[in-house]
Amino acid sequence: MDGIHDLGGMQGFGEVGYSPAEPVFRRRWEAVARALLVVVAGAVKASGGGFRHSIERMEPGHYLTSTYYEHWLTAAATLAVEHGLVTHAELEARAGGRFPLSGPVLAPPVVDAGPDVDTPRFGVGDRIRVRVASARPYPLSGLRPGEDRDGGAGGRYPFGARYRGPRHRPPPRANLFGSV
Amino acid sequence: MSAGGHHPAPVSPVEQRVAALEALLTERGLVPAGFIEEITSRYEAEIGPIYGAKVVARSWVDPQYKQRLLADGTAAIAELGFGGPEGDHMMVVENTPGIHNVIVCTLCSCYPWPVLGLPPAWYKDPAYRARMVREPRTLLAEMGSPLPDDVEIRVWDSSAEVRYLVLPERPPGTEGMTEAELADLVTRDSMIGAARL
Repeated sequence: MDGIHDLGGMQGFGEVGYSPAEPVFRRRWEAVARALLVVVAGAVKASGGGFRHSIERMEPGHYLTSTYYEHWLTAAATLAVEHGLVTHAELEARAGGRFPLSGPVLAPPVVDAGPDVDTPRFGVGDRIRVRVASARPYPLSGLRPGEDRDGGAGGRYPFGARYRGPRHRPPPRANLFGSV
Repeated sequence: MSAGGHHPAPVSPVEQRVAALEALLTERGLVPAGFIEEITSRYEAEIGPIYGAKVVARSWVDPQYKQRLLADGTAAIAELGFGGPEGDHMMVVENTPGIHNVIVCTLCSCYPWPVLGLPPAWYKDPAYRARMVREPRTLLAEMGSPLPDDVEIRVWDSSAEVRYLVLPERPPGTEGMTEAELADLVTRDSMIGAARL
């Protein structure tokens, strides 16, 4: 599944607005938007994936030109409308203007991920070839073998992935706001 | 202009939308009394990088703890009483003289809340997420932390399930400091890998 949120490796972005310390919330509305998403996600029993997807399916221009907590607001409102807690018309009437929501669900939920596999398919140190599922080229694929991502001396980030072995086993389903 | 009057800033469109959603959900009885303040204060006043700093300081003074931390981050962090949402599966990555680690979440904002609190805006904004996996050396230098060419950079892309914490190197000249004094040295950005101590 492709989406504007899949930003890794995308070129054209400029300076990171870095700061070593800043308030957790720049304005109170950010804290409220965050809390409202927690409320809505709980009320509609959204999974972590479902919540993230409600942000991922924002209109790309809206996603890139709005701040992080506006993403949360949009997701909260979208889930609330989709699950019948509020209507879009009510939101716009109360807000006194447009209230853009995310687009429709793009990826159907996985209902059967298949059996758990305990035996690794590869050995540590194997070189593996990865087939890219995304519609857009994965950032590594823009490099020639031996080329460094930073354009410096080649060879430090080889084109092929190197399998390092299983470091950890993630839990089967991670709930956004607590453990399974 | 009224004498001594204070004109509040006009309400922005996004604030109006937040207020609209809050009002409608509250009218439907979906927002428990005090919930917004409680959940906000938890991450504004309580959970924050000082927790991670204590984990780091403990690993500097206790080699066995450090080994446990690197082997099973979640369990070792829990030994100090820290854990919870968005930290269900922690992996701690150690900086050495030859290796520098840095964390990112290219897809959203995954971050180890239980030890660092909520992430800064720059971590969640597109430029960091796009650039850190493609040009980490250049970006770290731009952000004020240039690294020698012979230091390998490892970029860890966080996921919904797995969260990372960078274990920075103990600065020289800190022998004899107490654990609490060491914790005071550890910055949030050193545990993200965006800076060194």
